[in-house]
Amino acid sequence: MRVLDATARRILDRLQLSVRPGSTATRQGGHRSPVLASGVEFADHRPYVPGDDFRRIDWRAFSRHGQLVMRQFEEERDARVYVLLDLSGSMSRGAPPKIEIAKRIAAAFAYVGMKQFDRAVVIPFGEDLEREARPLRAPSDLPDVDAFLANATAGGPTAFPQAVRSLATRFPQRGLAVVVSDLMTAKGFPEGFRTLGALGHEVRVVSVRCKEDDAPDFQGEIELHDAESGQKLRLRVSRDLLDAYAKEIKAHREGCRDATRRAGGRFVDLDVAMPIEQMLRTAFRGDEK
Amino acid sequence: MSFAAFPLWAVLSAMGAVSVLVIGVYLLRRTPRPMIVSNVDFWLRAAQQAKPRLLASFRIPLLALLVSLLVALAMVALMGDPRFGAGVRGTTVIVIDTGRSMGASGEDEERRVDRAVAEVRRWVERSTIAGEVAIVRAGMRPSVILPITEHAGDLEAALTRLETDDGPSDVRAAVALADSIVIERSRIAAAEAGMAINGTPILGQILLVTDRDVDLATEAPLVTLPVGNEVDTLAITAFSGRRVPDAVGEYAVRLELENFSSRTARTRVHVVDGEVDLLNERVTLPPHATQVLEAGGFSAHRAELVAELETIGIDGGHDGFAGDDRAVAVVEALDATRVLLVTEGDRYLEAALGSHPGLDVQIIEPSGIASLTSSTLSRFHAVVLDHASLPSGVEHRAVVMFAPLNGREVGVTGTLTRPRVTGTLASHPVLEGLRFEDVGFDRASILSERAGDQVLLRSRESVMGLARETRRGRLVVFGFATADTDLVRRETFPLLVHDALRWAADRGEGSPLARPVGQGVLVEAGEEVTGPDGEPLDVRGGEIPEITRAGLYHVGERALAFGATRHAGPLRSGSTGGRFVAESQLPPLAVIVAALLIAVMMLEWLFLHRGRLE
Repeated sequence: MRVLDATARRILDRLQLSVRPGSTATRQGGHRSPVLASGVEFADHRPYVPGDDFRRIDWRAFSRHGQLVMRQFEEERDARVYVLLDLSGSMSRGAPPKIEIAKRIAAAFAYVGMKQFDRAVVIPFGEDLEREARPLRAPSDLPDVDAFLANATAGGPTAFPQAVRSLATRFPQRGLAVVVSDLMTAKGFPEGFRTLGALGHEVRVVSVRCKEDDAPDFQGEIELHDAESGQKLRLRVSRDLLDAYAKEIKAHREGCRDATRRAGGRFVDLDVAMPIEQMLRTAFRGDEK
Repeated sequence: MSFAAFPLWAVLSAMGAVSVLVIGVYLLRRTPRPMIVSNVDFWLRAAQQAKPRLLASFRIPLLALLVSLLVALAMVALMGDPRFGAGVRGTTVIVIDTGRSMGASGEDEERRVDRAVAEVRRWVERSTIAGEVAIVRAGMRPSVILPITEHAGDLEAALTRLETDDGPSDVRAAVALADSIVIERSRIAAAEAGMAINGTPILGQILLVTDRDVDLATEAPLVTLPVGNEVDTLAITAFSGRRVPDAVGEYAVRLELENFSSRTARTRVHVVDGEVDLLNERVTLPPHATQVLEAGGFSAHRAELVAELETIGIDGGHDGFAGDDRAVAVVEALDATRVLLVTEGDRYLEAALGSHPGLDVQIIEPSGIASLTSSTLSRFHAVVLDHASLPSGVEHRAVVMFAPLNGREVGVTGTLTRPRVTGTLASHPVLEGLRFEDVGFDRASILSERAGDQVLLRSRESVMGLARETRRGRLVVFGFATADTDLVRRETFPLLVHDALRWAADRGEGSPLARPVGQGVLVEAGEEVTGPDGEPLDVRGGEIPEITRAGLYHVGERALAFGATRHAGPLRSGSTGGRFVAESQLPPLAVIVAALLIAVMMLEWLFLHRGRLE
């Protein structure tokens, strides 16, 4: 794979993707599901009703209590992993560029999902909403996704609400919705996270940050060019303005984090300067900071 | 306003360049740097929420530009050395008196010449617009020390090295020189402007800075700027040294001291010959009193005498002039007159020459004269020839001849038998005090007279003795031999011989007085000249045309004393209170800059911000 090198894959081979039971799919898989049916993990007893499969009658309980009870097992199902990858223009910033990190994270979730026999879909959102989502049905599909990610470039405005709408329309099944983005759009993200939560998805937000966004160090007469819209803004950047900007960014991130929590999801901050191993572990662990 | 350091065009060019530079830097600073950001919305929000700035801060960049521009322009203007003033038109010729009395200092210890320089600087600062200035130095001999210039640096250099002479100044000649400069400059200006020469208006003026009352008539307007107050002084008014004729090796020193003050003065008079003290005496002089001090020394060598007044005290005042507290004199070394006598044993000549202790006589016979050359004769101060003449091609600057042979130097046209002296040139130094009426001669040669010869002895129309002075030397000829006259048996004869030698050798005693400053010095080729402080002096054309500083000068082996004692006198001054004051019509530069700044700010508000406050 071009996006994930051998080192990254070795790390990912040791990682597991855990999905909330309520967000599992319908096929049998490796994730616990809320459905009690045939499985290997004992869950509970219930009274026998005619028509039940008498092979699951607990005869030992019948010998002790004289009542027919059925043994119930947790059914393990697969999970849908929806990776919503931000390919907006702002993702091209940073050193290394945020898009490179984001593509690795997206590929990592797809790789681990497929390794666990889940179904993964990479849904880019950016300038071109018509971009084709890449569903993965078998590990043999990974090279296609890898090629897609390797050729993906950042550009255009962020269109996260449209991406959520597209996800809801095209993939109605619940799953793990991993949003990989720099969140550098003032509106749309918190609402999108809440919508994903309402659709039953387990939301995981991987925020890719860079120093240029969080703590710029330029001052003086500056003409700011918006990396996504091309909009220009002329400012005399002073220390006061830098402080105000930092506060604004922090408040925005806190808003996104809060929305994620309210949607029952997890929020992860990743700095582009972090080592890849730490980055992957943090993204999969989903630790909140 | 004018600029003294640089021409106006240079200052304006510099201002233009600086303005372009400042505005360029401002534009560079104001040109925004493009910077790509992820999203400008956050910046917009931050800008809206950043703490509000003061109203004035919105104008800071433009105000900074204006202030920078003004400061830069002011600095350029200051570098140009701006001059303000009511100003006067045309050329200003400044005549500064640098005579002896300008070296005097008043109660404030400031010398008059320094005050004059300060006044000139102030005057030029305030009063010249065109800045065309020339300076005439009114010393013992007036000279232009600064030709017409507009450059303040030249003016400053000329004023900086200005020193006084030790003699009186010739202010009248200096002002006449300045007048001619102004008139000539006006004519040139009129010619350039195409105006008629006749009736040309005088474009210029003369500023005379002096310590004297002068009443001069000039064509150009003359402004007199008096400097100095009347001051007390104690002065050496005469100082001389001469050898004592009666005592070989001794010399006598005479010093005259005068108190030009209305108060009692005290001083210590110190006279030295090199390192030998000749006189060291405390003297107290009543007001306006004179005292003569005498001292003596003993040395066959040259005496270089220096007299100084030390620790001068004047009751209730101070000695205002140091230039008259020192005097110098030279007493030449004792040196015998070397005489070569060429004779065949004339005992009268030998006796007459040998009787004088100041003569060193060497005798040879006429046969030996052929071996003499001019160089071998040059070590003798005089040559006495008896029945002989110098060989062809041999010359000497002092020759006395008795009974000459007809030859190149003296022509003998005949012989007189028993002549009587009918006429003498008694006023000539050779015959001074001698009488020849009853002197008997057996015979005498008749000498041929040349133009310019002075006939000493005459018998009717015949010349028996003559004195000749040419560029090459002096010659005294007597047409008689010692054997043919009874003169030799009289006591007159040695005097005649000695007087003839003294005049011919020109070794009369020099003046015991120092030469007055203002005289020149003739210098032989190869001789070096050093000044009073031992500094080497430039010699041009074999002379130093004018000595303006008193002291001992050494010219080769000679020592020359130049004194200013004859100019010693009371130090008066012109009337004070009539100082030239040039009223400035413009405020100082700082006020102008401040007014300009306010005006620019007002204009900026008028054009850019008017109505914003409404």
